[in-house]
Amino acid sequence: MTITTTKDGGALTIALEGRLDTTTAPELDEKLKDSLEGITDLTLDMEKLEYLSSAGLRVLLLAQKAMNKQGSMVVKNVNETIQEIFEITGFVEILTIQ
Amino acid sequence: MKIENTSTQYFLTAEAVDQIAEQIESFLYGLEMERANVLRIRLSLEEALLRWMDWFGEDVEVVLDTGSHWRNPFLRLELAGEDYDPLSNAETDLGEWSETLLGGIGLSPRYSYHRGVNILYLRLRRPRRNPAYYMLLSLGIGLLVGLAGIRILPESVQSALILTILDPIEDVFFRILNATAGPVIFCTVLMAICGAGSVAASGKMGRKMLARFVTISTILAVCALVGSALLFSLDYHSTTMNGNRISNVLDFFLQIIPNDVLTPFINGDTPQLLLVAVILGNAILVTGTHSGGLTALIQQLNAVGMVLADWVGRISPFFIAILLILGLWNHSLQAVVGIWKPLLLFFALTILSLAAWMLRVSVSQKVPLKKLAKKMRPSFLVALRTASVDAAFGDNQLCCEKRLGVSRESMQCLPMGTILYMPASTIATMTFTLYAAKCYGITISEVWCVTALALTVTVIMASPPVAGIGLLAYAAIFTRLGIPSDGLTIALMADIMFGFFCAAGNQAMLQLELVLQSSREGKLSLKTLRK
Repeated sequence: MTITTTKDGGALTIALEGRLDTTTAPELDEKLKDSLEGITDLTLDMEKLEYLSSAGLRVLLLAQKAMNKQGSMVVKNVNETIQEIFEITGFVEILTIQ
Repeated sequence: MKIENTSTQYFLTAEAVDQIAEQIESFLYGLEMERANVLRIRLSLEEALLRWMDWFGEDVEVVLDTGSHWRNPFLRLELAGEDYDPLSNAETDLGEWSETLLGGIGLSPRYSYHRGVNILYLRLRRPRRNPAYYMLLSLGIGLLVGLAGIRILPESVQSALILTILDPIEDVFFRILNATAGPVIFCTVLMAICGAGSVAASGKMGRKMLARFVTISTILAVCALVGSALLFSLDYHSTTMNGNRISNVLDFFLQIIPNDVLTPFINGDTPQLLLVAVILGNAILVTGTHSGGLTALIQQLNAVGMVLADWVGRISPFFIAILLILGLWNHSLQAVVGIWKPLLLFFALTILSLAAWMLRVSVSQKVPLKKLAKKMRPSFLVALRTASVDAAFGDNQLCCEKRLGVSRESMQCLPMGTILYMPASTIATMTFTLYAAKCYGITISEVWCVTALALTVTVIMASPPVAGIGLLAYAAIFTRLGIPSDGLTIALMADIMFGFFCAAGNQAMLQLELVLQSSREGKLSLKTLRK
């Protein structure tokens, strides 16, 4: 998975490309832990994300919980399959999806 | 489609979890399963593996078995080590979302610990064509062959075939129905009470929903009873309040109490079986966890009952064709001529009920009726087309959550409601039972009506939507009400004709109840409903 970050003051955009699975989820988790300090707006751009696993959902949930304390988090450009995963797992009610 | 049995060993690492997930997806897509269900199963099992990894650490051996058992596909994960149930244990709360994923599609993974091995087993449903398709086909074949036989074969040949082949086949079929109906209905009622008890115990909302299901089903059954009495010119014999009549009524209720536990099963007496099931079911609920072994036995018995009902459903198309041919050659299908009456009554009552509930939701939630109908239409059409709540479950769920704004808490009642709440089926069964009574000259009284009402509501609520269970329900009800087995021929035909609209009607009424329940809880998403 390729993770591209763009920071603008208190706003951080993380673009994900590839698969967010059990192998790559720790990589995103580490990146988020290193980058979230002082961030009030987090955007996860999933335009090029092809696959999402249970481990990936755990990382998203952790990120959402962290951002609930310090600002807001938005997930955008999800494809049909990822959207379906969010719907069946109830993540549509936990995440803000654009 | 042949399903190969495979067994693959992994050492539990992040990469192995991904490989296992890929193998699971590949297996499920090979079964031509819908994407949404594949995702649910994959995510649930992934989460279970993550929980095992959290507990046991990496590099423990895990075995994934896929294959079929008695032609039913299954998935099995095995891990040697101490007892750790990933379905009910978790080291974090990050996976709580996975706990209801499979229940939503009627699947239930089983955990067991045997000789030092943790086993997670998921039995899948065998993909097969909709049984309603075979029923319709058999109707068509029966009609064709029956009518062709009347034109082509001399009466002597018809009589010979009836005597030597068709009558014995009919006799066998009714024996199968009568032998199977009692035990299956007993097991399903017992399971329904234990299951309903668990639902009721699980919260106030579960109890409220259950009470509403029973009340509304009873009211609609009464409406069907009254409508039928007015439309069919029934042979009614009133019991008036004098000494003899009162004792007759008392006798009737006392007869429901059996002399011993075995007699109801031997005689196939449905009210007695229902009474035994209700008493036993409630006794089990009262004993609670102390009856864990008994509850497991009941679940197994219920599973066996469902298999029996399924087998009856599978052989029914053949027998339906035979019964139709027999009826045409015997000229005993005059009742078919008048079948427009119960059909008309069923459609009128069901549509009126549905319209009334939609109007209620429309007015109380301030949603235009047309908009509400438009939201419900896609899932209604799926149920109508397939006559199967299983096939329509995904669309039903989507409609409730995404179009009607039903809350997540109320959605927990969707699986229960799908099984227990069948208002359209109740109307159909009540209507048709009274029509059959009319056709066979059965004298009805208040006592007969109360029995019919109680049997219909209880048996329909207790009967899960499995192919074949409708036939068994009719067999059980007709036997107790004194309607001859011949009446089952037309009951089978009516069940097929009603079946499509019943599935759609049941589903629509349930959706509206869930909307009303969510509103009562203050958790209905009006934004979604009015969008």
